[in-house]
Amino acid sequence: MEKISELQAVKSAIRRHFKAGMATNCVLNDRDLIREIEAGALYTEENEGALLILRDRGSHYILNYYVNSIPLPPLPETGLVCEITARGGENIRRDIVSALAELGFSEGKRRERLCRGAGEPEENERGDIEFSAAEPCDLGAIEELFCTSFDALTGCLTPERELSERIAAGEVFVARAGGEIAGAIETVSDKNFSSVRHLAVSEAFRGRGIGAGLVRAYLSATGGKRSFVWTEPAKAAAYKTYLKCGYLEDGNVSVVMTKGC
Amino acid sequence: MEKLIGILKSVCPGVDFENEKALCDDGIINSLDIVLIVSELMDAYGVEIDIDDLVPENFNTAESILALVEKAQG
Repeated sequence: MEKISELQAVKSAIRRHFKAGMATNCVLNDRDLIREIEAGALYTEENEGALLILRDRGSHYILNYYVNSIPLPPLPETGLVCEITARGGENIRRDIVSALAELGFSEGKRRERLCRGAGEPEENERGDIEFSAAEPCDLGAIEELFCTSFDALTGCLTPERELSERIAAGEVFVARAGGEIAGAIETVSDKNFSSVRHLAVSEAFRGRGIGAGLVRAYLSATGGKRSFVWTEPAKAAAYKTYLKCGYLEDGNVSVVMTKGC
Repeated sequence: MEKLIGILKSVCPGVDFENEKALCDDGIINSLDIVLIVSELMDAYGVEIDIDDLVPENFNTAESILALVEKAQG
């Protein structure tokens, strides 16, 4: 693997494959690439037909591919995760799934994207749970909650620095019960829409509508912008929470592939 | 424009390319859609589009996408 230390090096490589008509599972923008380079976490593997970008997450790497022809270059014998998305299940690139399988990947969970059209949410009822934007001092508790709620490998957990930036940007909300964090939602805002990255409710507080309260608090803070979330139908509680808040399936699906874990 | 709309709809079925005015800004199409669209456009029109042109402003409307193709055609 080659460690990337300059933005232009990786952009030149992407440009080479783009010109040849590439397929990709993730378009990293300059800001994302710079953040990974500054964290010393960006690596590549490349051959004539493909550029593989690996983002180091300590225990594993997240794999993004830019492929114009198969076979793919060899990959390190370590934990790897790759998510392949498409509009509609039949459009998932089976050739790339097969190429990854040949490199030792196996198919794991499937996710669906849900969309909620623009519109203000219902107001949260006043009660013993308080919903508000997270404070910088909540970072540790939020990280711990997400770490216990999501798989370290496939949960796409946000690195601490990035999560801290999102808290500072007012994109993370918490539910407080007394002095305790009962739940948290991490989101990302774009121009006219926003996306949910992680939603978790502490085990002791589940079944009290806190998940829906967090979603409503976040939607309200965005002024009711259109919202997206990738979620697993298998996670029934979260899935139902989103449906209850007005989200609907929008036809985008993904399959998560892992290797060496 | 008719040819372009046909290509766009084949890549992103169900999207109202004739009338939407903020395809990227409203999250109706995303960066992965843009890559697929550009790949199709490069094949269909025989043009080369640079990766630096893959910015939301160029993909918010069918008209802006057509302008990008025309720019690439010189």
